[in-house]
Amino acid sequence: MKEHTIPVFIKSIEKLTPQVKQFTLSPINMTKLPPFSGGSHIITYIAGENGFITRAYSLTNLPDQTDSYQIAIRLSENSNGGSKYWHESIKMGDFLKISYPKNHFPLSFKAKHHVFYAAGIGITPFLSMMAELRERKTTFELHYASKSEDLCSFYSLIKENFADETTFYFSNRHNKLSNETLLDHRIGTHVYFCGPESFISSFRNEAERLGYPKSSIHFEHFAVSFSKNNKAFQVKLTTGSSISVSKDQTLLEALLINGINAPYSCRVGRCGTCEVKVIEGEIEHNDTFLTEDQKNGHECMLTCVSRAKSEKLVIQLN
Amino acid sequence: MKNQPIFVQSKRKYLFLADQKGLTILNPIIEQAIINNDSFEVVFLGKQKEFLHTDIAHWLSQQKMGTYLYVCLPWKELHPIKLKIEEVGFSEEEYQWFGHGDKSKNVFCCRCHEITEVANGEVEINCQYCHLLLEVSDHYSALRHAYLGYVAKL
Amino acid sequence: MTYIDNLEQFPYPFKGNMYRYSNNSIPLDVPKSVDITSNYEEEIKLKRQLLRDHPKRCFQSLSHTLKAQWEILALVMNHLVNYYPDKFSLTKTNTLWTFRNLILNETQQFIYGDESTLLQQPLDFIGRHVQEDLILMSERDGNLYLDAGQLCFPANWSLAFDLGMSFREIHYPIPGFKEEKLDDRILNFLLRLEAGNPWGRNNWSLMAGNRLDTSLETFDDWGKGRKQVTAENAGDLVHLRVEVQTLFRLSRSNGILFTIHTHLLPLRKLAEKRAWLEQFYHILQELPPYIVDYKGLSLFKDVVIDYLKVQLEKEDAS
Ligand code: HEM
Ligand code: FES
Ligand SMILES: [Zn+2]
Repeated sequence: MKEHTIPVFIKSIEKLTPQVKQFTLSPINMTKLPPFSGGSHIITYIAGENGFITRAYSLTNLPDQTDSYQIAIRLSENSNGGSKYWHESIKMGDFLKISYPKNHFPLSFKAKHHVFYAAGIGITPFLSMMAELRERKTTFELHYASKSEDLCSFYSLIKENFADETTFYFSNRHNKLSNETLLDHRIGTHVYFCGPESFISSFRNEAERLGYPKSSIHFEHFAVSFSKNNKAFQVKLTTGSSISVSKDQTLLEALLINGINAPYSCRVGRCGTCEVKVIEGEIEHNDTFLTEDQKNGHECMLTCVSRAKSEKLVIQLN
Repeated sequence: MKNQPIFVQSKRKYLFLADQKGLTILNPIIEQAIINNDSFEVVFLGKQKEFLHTDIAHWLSQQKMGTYLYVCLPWKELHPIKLKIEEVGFSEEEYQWFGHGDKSKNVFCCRCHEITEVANGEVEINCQYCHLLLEVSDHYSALRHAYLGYVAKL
Repeated sequence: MTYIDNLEQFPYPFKGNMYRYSNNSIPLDVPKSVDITSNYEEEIKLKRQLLRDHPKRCFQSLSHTLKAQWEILALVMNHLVNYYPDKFSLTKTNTLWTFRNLILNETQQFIYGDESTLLQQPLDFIGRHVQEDLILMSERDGNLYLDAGQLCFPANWSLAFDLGMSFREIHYPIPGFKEEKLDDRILNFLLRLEAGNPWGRNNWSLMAGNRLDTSLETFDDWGKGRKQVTAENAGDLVHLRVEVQTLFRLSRSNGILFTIHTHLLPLRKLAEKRAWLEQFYHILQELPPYIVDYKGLSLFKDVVIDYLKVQLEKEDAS
């Protein structure tokens, strides 16, 4: 992993609800953590038995608070390690590494009004977003659904700070959040959804049905990280030569070692310089550069990080 | 901007803002809305334009999400209305605009930053302020609402 | 303007015998946005003169950028004191900051976040202490816009005209950028730039003359130099102009700081290094017309090639 990380330790752990714990992380070397923009998250890296457990969590503290970060984690029933580990094994004083803050869920700049729809732990990114809008003096509202008041994370914090903007919906009181409220938003409104997949898709679909433009609809999706179990493969160039790529080698490295003048710059799958045409074969795309459409097309690949899914590839260098 | 208005399906409501000539250009779209039984409103922009601008801003700001707007006005009147429309909160994806009649072009002088208005299609002009001979380019700034004029001769 | 005497310090930009437009960005090994060279005092003096005489040409900002400007000020000040502790100092007492420039013997106290405590806007202030031009690209609604900048040494472009433009619009004049979808690719890359992981790249051109302030606004004047190049004077008149650029994601505002440090090297000096002379000769000879044209070399490229050739032959003879 080439990415720079920040070493932190667990300063405190607080139970917010029977299922949600809040962790406060403080920096080890740095005196301050970077401030962040509303909606930001961090990646946490915890050394586990089979390599690092990496997870993305929204930062729930105020954007300008730089002595510590807070994240809130809900124990999920079918956890394959992440939340279970956080809930059961992490103790105060433990060390871990985190990424710098990243934002894949930024506030719209041009919106005239912002409306947040949260279900359960989906509330987390909205806390910093609302704080930022308060500071910008821009109007917003929050619709927050939870099973009950007891299970509603950040209930008192929200009541204290955002009472006028917030409507709570508790299903144990038969007060259900429905997507009909989407009918009422004035022109220039941007809507943000965060919660279970079914919740997000129900609201997205309704907003699109009403004619909301795509750019006014925002929803949270975290990038997935994957572990590697590389295999060797063969590459044929349209110029005729054939090259084997061992499992410990990147395609780019193999090309260069074989004297082929392949273009490259960053070597981490970010800049796109090393792109080549794929004539034949399926690709395992490991870059963060190509769009989903380009990746699914299997017509191009980045040699510095991506590999063959099939046993053989035919590629063309320009 | 498209050359021909295109009907955008499945919006909850359609708005049309045009003058006499503009209405004839938008007519196929209005007819389409009628055929589809969509709800729509037409605002006719007559002579007293100054007065109407605030009313139009108010009318637009009362609209709900899911509304789609078509505007067709003389080129000269289009730009200020577009600024209003966007200020109210309509995004590029929520309206289409068309101009008719004479079209002119603003040219930003690379030397003195002043703007000279010229007829569409001019390739070389003199800056109205510093008189530098400018080559009109198609490099456009929305903020300046002008095309860049480069030094035409060294 | 004087040039770097030490050839080893010159950021020679080429990697092979051929040059094309591409995303030639690479991750920075050292996360440093500014560099202090032996020309520091001379260039700062020139910068401040230009800012005084041509404020609109050299500084532009949109009103919503103040917060991001403060963030840039903090980032640049931190780099100055961390990398040049004998030249700069910064003490913070709550929000009262005291910044000292020991090279120029200047001290400035201000309240961080309060514009009224500085004579200039924050970006304009900090730019007066570094050799780099500083550009703020804001991220707004999924795109990047040039929303503020201090630019004294542009390579023939106008900050006043480009203010508020998107990344794609800014690069519109470059031939092949749009057709090859380079603009989309580079924009995609920039949108994924992350805090803590800065990138850098070089850009180059040839300049008839030794001015750093080659603004578009004064092109009718300095551009004439292109007609005065002869085989006799090329070695001293013509300079390789290299821009060392860095890209830093600003974690708080979610904008990007783009820095440009311009270096000039007369061809006579370049020719002292055989490898450079040879490579640059090949590059110029091979350079496709659309790049020659865009970089403004059409009027004197052939003369320069002749000059380089003579130098090569001279060396071969001796
Ligand atoms: C994000 C901040 C950036 C800004 C503000 C910026 C701005 C500019 C401007 C103003 C020009 C001159 C355009 C004109 O003729 O009017 C230019 C040229 C250019 N830019 Fe950028 N740029 C940025 C980033 C990049 C990046 C990341 C790349 C590529 C990886 C890039 C590649 C180029 C190239 C190849 C040219 C043509 C240069 C030449 O041939 O001399 N730019 N840029
Ligand atoms: S070298 Fe940058 S993406 Fe491969
Ligand atoms: Zn002029």
